[in-house]
Formats: sequence, structure tokens, C-alpha cells
Amino acid sequence: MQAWNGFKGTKWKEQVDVRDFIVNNVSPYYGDESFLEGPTERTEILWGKVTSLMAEEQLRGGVLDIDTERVSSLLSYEPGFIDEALEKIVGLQTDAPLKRSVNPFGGIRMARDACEAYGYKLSDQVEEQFSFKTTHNDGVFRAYSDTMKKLRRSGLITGLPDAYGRGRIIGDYRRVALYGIDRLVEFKKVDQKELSEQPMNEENIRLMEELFRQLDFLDKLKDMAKAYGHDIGRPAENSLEAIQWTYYGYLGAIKEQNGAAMSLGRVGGFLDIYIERDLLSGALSEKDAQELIDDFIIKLRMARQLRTPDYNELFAGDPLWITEAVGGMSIGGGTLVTKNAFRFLNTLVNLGAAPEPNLTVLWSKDLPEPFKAYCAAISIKTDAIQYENDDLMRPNFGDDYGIACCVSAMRIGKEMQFFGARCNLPKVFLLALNGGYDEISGEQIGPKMDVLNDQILDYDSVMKRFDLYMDWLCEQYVGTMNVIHYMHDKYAYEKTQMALHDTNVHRYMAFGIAGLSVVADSLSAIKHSKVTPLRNDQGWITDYINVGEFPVFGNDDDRVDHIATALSKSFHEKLSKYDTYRNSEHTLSLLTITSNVVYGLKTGNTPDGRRKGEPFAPGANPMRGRERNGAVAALNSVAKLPYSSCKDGISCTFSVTPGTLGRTESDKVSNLVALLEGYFTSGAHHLNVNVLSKDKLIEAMEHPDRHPSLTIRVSGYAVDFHRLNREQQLEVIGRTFHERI
Amino acid sequence: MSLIIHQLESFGTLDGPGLRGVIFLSGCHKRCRYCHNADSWQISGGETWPENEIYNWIMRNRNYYLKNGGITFSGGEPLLQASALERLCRRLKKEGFHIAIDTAGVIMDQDVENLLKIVDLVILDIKHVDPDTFLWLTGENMEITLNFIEILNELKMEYWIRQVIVEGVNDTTLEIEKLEKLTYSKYRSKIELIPHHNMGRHKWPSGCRVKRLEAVETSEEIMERLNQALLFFSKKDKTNETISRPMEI
Repeated sequence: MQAWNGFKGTKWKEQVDVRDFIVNNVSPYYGDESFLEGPTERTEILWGKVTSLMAEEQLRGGVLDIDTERVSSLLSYEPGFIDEALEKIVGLQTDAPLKRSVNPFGGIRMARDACEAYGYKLSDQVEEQFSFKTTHNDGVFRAYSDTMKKLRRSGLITGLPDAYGRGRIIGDYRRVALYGIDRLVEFKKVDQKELSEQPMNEENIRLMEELFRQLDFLDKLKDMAKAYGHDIGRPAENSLEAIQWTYYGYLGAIKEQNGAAMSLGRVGGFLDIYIERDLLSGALSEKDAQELIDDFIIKLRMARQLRTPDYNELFAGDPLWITEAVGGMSIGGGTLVTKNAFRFLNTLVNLGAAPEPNLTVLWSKDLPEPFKAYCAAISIKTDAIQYENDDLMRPNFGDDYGIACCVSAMRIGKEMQFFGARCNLPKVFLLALNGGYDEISGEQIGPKMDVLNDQILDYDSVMKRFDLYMDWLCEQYVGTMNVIHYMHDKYAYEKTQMALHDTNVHRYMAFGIAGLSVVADSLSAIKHSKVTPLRNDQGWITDYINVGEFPVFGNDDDRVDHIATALSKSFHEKLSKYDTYRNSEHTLSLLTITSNVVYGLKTGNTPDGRRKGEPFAPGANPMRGRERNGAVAALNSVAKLPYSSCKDGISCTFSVTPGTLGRTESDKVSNLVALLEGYFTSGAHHLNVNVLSKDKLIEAMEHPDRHPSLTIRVSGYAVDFHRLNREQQLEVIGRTFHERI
Repeated sequence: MSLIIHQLESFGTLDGPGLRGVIFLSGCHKRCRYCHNADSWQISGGETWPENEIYNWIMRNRNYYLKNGGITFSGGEPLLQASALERLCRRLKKEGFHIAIDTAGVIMDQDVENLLKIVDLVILDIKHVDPDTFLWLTGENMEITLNFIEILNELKMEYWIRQVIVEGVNDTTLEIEKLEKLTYSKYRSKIELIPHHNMGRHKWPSGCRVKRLEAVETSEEIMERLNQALLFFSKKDKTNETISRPMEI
């Protein structure tokens, strides 16, 4: 068969096993970036057209156009193009570039509000169509308890995917290219037959129905490609087709679902195998290869979903988390760095810095040194990439995992997760002191107890109390997640993405904590200094007087770092006590996206000295300005947080001024490599790297025109700085920039 | 034993090769007129750290320093505490750290020599190439520093030469050429020119008998010009080297 001509291995031919295909055919690359090509003239013209559309989009308040007449799905729109004659890789979400579609399956209100926020009105026909339809959002609110509604309203748990697609699922889009839809259907039909012979219990019935819907959408995916003139029933036969077929898989997913994070997975190394074959046969030159990758990336940079302003507060900058994992090592010890790893990073040079796709380097101490240096050089130049510890993840997830969203690892096509946003831990802490009463909303939310009556807060009694409320919160949190994901499966099941998974998948339920450093510092204050609680007229504790010094998180001081570590462990243990929907595995992340700002707004004074309304630190970061012992000490504190309890990821954002990295360009590169090496060897999980100065950001805030394409990593993803609102910009500017004086 | 420390820098990228832990020791008897660490002059102003605590601090950060970087002892004048430093450095060498000493080279005794024998690199700060200006700038005799270089050569130690460039003081290519010639040796692996800055101005003690030299921050243009000149003169020296070597054999 032409498609598989020259490809080695047998297992992947007999069953769906993309990893086996990669391991058998990968061409590791140990060299440097000197082979890379710049953009072709065609690429520049095409990209120029897209950038002017994007500028127009910004002028119109962030949305270029909305199709309010139709509901997004695989076959809702006729084919769309930027410039048909110029495009190598085709396919848009709607019939015109950057035009957004309406996706009300998560909830009609959100779709309606989003249209109105940008001056549009959802058409009567869509409204009418959905007046007879139960959305995911409807379902959730049928089952939420009063307590769950209160938890949500008060902001103890926020960002829950109960009004929009849950996302965080990575379809194995490579399967479309390697096998073609027809063969995937055959495999699924075998599964269907097997399932039909199992006892028809609730679980099996549900899976049977899901499988039926997967098969239905595989057909639709084929039809979607056919409209562009491609037959993806058969496998891809060359590099162009492999990229195109893979992209169709992804495109189908983002037409069907508006999940918060719609990640791509790990396609680079896979596609490299096709490119190597074509380079060898002479069908393709390096320039052609880069051109195809550039074209693919242009398409990814154009992906859009329609969101409400509320949503943008939590997930600022219009992100889609089209996360692509780059690099890493194989279980066998060889590197998975290919020339395509370089080509993907090179798009940040050819097309300029941009937040999407969310390029994520899987760092191992064993990566080829020239690749490490190239990554560091691109970080310094663009601030657009993030790093995650492959040596830490590989033992947990094998060597064919991808990253969903920012930091969530999962085996591609074999595992999925139920996304659970995060809880506001400082607020839980304050609730505990006040016996379940939330002084901000004025509501009794948790179990009612007396307000803690210590004259000076006693560590042991505070911890005992906090422990009780964490336990209560965890039970409620698991319950809330169970409701959400039960309903999402029922009313907004991901047909396309799950069709590109094994029929039986392992599921994670991914919980999260925001504000860990605030709570750790607060507990440290109580333990190591004297904290006197102040009560307001109604007797609620609303403020604190703090006498004495206390160690704070971010200084490599075990006295407080152990508190943070113990908290994450204990929270995960508590979650794990409660049963999850579909027996999914409890995991935990220390990640905030940009919600650290909103969470801070909803949280009163804390005993660490943080004032009411002040933002939390992002992710697992120390609170800003509290890292007094320098960059390495700050990173050491973060590195201590236990990945074994936080397998959904531990996010840390690090900003350093260019001059602090070294005097010469080559010093800067090698010092950044040394920094990453040191951090990851210490067992840390994730690092966003920004190399820039505070002054540059302040200038960009005051004069956006001077830095039109300024990209910055905020928390597990990158944003176009200008898409942040003023509060978010100020919060980013207020963060610690490691600088030598 | 303990050391008296002015400051620790865990992310040192400017004092020696690679990423380094930099330990600034307290005490210096020179009074260089543009010193930007004037707060490190008084040894009594420092904090006493038991050797073990410094060792532990370094070991906590070792993953960052072991691969391409190391540890630099700077100051102040680190050689004032040479004997205590030697003990610590012996322990650090056992762990595989690359060790650099950042000094003005104005002390030479048995303790210093013992220390130099175990470190990997000396970063030697020479304030000026003209003896009179040197004396005026530092309050010390330039001969002492030149002797120090001789001893480094005798010990066959790798060293870097460093000079802070101050506009109107040492910003001519002629002075750079002199610096290159004066310090030329096969043990010298680098000359580093550093632009003067005024960020340490506020640390200058009030009522100090030495008046601080007021100078502007050295411009990038000057640095560029002097670095070009340096490159030119060092190439010239390298050509000499290839001619002279066969004759030595």
C-alpha cells in the first residue's frame, strides 16, 4: 500500500497503535538549527492576509464576525478559505476566516450573552431550536444541590465547565492520517461487537450509545473533508496529506466542541516520519517541509471560540490551548526530538511570536544539547514557550503522552480527563475560621460552627478547624464534578474526539487549587509569629494583626515549604476519599490560568498580610515580592511541591530580565539551559519562561502600538499582552521579575 | 570556621562562566572611587555564617551550578578570608564544583597561595593600566596587582582579567591595548570589559574620606568600540603566539 510504503513495524498495522508506529519509524535528530528555512514568499503573503484580518478583529473589540444563524458542527458551514489559491493546508471553522460560530450545547445563555457582548443577536431559529433541547448547562442545574450552587456563586469553586464545553480532551488526530477513517470505523465496529456481547449493565449501555455516536461522527468527519475535496477514508499518502488529515481531525473537534482547552497532542514527531520519507524520495525539499508546517501553524493560530466577557476574566486573552508537546525521550532511552521539533519552534521566527499553538517542550536532561540551546534561544526571543519535565512525566504516562491545556499530561488516545477547574483555598481557609460563614457574600456556606475564638490564632486549633472544612469542601467538590461530567457526557459528549480514542479509556478527574502560597504563608504566620484576629461588628473575623517575622513560601525555607507540600498532599488524599463518576482517578493541579486575579477579588484579608481583593500568585508561584532569596531559592520552593499528589500539574511562571541572564547572547542561552536543567533535575514539573523587563511591559500597556505582537506567558499558556484587560496587565507587571542589582 | 558574608546571589550569570552561586564576602580595605558595593567594605557590616551553612546553601542549589557553572567568591575582597575559604573550597571541590575567586589581587600570603592552589579560576579586577591613576582610583599601588599576576602565572592558574570602563577614565582604545599587553599570558583566558553603572551610588557611606567619582553610566557605543578594539589586539597577540611557540620548543 502506497500510504505505508517504507514504514517499519507490524503491531501498529494490526491494531490502532500510533506510538508503535512512531517508535518504529522516528528519525531522532541530534543536530542544531542550521538546517532550518525561513518563510517562503507565499507564506509571507498568506500570513500577511491573516494578520491584517487579526488587526481588524482587534479593532472590532476582539471578534471579527459571528455566524448567529447556524449552530456549529462538522457540517454546518460550506468550506471556507483565506485565499484558496495560496493555501496548502485547508479548512476553517466556519465559511470565512476568523468568523466565529455559535456553540450552544454547553448552554444557550452563554451563547446568547456572548453574541450580545459583541453587538450581535443570536438568531430566532437557533433560540427556537434550543428551546426544545436540553443543554449540558440545563442538565447540571437540574442536579446541583443548594450547597453546590452556593459554592459556585461565592467563588469557592470557580471556572467550572458547567456552561461551556469541558475540553481537556485530546483526540488522537494522528489516527486520521495513519489509518484513514474507513479503517478506524472497522476497528470501532469490532469493539462494538465485543461490547454487545457483554452484560448490558448501565456502564455498558452508556458505552454502546457513545460508540454509536462516535461512528456517526467519523462519517461526518469524512464528509467535512470531502467538501474540501479530500477523501480521508483512506490513509494519508504523503506529508501534505498527513498534515491535512491530522488537521481535519482537529478541525472537526473544534467545530463540534468549544471546550476551554482543545489541545493538539503530540503530532510533530509523527508528521516528521512522513516528511523524512518525502525528503528521502526527493518529493519534498526542506523549504517545502517548513512551508507545510508554517501553513499548518497559520491554521492553528486562526482557531477561535465565542466567549462571554465573564469567561475572559478567568481565561484571558482568547486562548484555546492548542497545546503541542515537543521533544521528550522514549521509554527505550532514545530521543524523540526530530527535525520537526525544530520546525515547529521555527514557526515562532517565520511567523513571529504568538501564543498559539501552545508549544510545550518536554524537557529531559538527556535531550540533545543543540535542541536545548535552540529552545532557550527561542524563549529568549519570543517568550512563547513553556517547559515540562519529561523525566517526571514519562514514568507516569509513558512516552506518547500529550499535554491538555497547560500542564495536564495524558496518554494520547488512551486517557482523557474530566476537567474540574479549581477551588479557592484561601477562601476555604477564611470560611473555616468563621465557622462556614463567608463574610464577602454574607452567606452561610459551609457547616455552621462557632467563629474561632482564639485571642491569638493557635496553629493547632486553626489546622484542626481548616482540616474539617477542607474535608467538607472536598466532598462537595467531588460531588459537583460528578454532576457536571455526568451531564456533559449525557448532553455534550465529545463524539469526534472520543472516536479518536480507544473505546475503553482511562479517565482522570482533575481537581485544582488556587492560592496555595497564600494559605501556606498564612499558616506560617500563625505558626511562627503572633496573629491576632480582628472581628467586625457582627463578630466575624475579617482582619488580622501580625506581630513578628515568619518564613514565607519562595525562599527555600523548609519551615513554610513543608506546609505547602503537606497541604497539597492532604487535599489530594481528602479528594480521593470520595467516589468519582465513571471511577475516574483523582488528580490535582496547582494552576490558576488568569483566575488568580478574580479569585483574589473575591477573597478577604488573609493572615499573611495580603489585603482583601489583592490577586493571588499564579499557579504554584510564591506571592509576588516575597521571594527574598533570589531566583533559585524561589524555584527550589516550587520544586518541592509533590508531583505524586499533583499529577495534573504544578505550574510556575518565571520572569527574568534579559541582562540578568548574562552579558552575551550565547551566555544568555547557556544560562537559561542551566536554569531549566537545575530546576527540572530538582524534580520540578513546569516552567513558563519570560525573558523581558518590567519597563517593556509598562511601555506596551501605555503604548500598545510600540509592541504590537508582544507575547507573554502568564500561567500555563501564553497571551497576546494586548488581549489582557487592565487589571490583568497590572497583575502581570506586578509579578516578580528576577533581576540582579 | 565561619565566613563573614555580605550577600548571596543564587542566580549569578555575570561573575564567571555559566550559572553560578555567588558569595559576596564582607570586608575590603581598598576604597575604589566608583565601587558599587561600598556597603561591603566594613567586615563588621557582614553576617557571620558557619561554614556548614554556606556549604548547605550551595548544596541546596547544586543542580543549577554543577553542569556548566559553579561557585564564585566575590566581595568585598574574598582573599581577606582566605584561610576559612580554603577549607570550604576543599569540600566543594570534592562535590565537583568549579570555583572562581573574584578579587582585586592586592593580598598575597601563604593562606592566599594555599587557596589559589585549589580553585579553578581567578577573576582579577584591574582598575587601570596607568600606575598614577590606579593609585588615585583605588588607594593602592598597582605593583601589588602586577605581582599578583606573576604569581598566578607561576602557579599556572587560569585567570580572567576584568576592568570596569568609566567614561573619561579608561575609555580609550589605547588603554585597552595597554591592558591587553600588560596582562598577556597563556594562563589568561579572557578579558572582560564591564560598563560602569550608578546603581550602587546610594550605598556610598556619608562622611567617607574618599570622595565618590561621579561618572555617567558607560554607553553601549563605548563598550562596543572598546570590545572591538580588544578583539583586534587579542588577535594580534594570538598571531605572535603562533610565531613564538615553535621557537620555544
